[in-house]
Amino acid sequence: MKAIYSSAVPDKYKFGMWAFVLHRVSGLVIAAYGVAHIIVISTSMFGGTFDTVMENLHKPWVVSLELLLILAVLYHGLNGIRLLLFDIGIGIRQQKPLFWGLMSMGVIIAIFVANAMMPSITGGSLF
Amino acid sequence: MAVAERTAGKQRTTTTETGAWAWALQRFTAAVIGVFISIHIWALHMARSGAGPVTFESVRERVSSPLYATVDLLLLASLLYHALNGVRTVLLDFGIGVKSPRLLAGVLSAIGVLGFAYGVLALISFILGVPLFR
Repeated sequence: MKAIYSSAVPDKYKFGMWAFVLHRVSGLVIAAYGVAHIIVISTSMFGGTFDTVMENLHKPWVVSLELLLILAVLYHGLNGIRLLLFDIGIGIRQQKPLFWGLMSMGVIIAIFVANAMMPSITGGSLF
Repeated sequence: MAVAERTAGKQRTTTTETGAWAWALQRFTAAVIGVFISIHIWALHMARSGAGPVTFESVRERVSSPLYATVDLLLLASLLYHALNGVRTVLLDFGIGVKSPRLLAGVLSAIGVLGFAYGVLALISFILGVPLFR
């Protein structure tokens, strides 16, 4: 197992490799959500079902999952900015500070989104 | 050049070739999605905080603005391309479809076109203000 791990993740690639794996996993999670989202929202084309579906989905546990989804979207989007910058030759030598800088931005945005979603989860706001 | 040829005899250092245009479009749609999804999430989660469930009427009102309908439409198209091309890249990296890349691309494109058509029907229902099928 250890041999497989070290051949797949060489020491000097460890950091970037984790960022890469997380990018793909979050991408697949978001793609799966996208399918569900199109199916749910498209109930609008069938008379009377949309409002019922949306009301049934407006539950604390569903909104909590949506908050997790926002974290996946924030990770994927902010890490994606890093990838776009690399493609135009910016920041390749500052990979780590760039990564943690973007992730800090993500944490701040996540706190604001969580605050906005709180009324639908606990009934009150964070602050 | 086939990947196997290019990396024969040495450690494989790159992923499977997936096409330069696909690569460029993946970057372009990434930028479009980055801007539009921020608007989308802002409008649906931040601006409506505490307003209760989304209703047909609330969406109808929002997409009655041509600008917002355009944002949703372009977001739908960009996301479908970006997601399905991403799935294609992951599958190719796992060795799935490497022998028939065109078939893989064709199947995923078909899913994309169907998904877009289905999403457009939903959007038309909101724009018209009545469900298309009742």
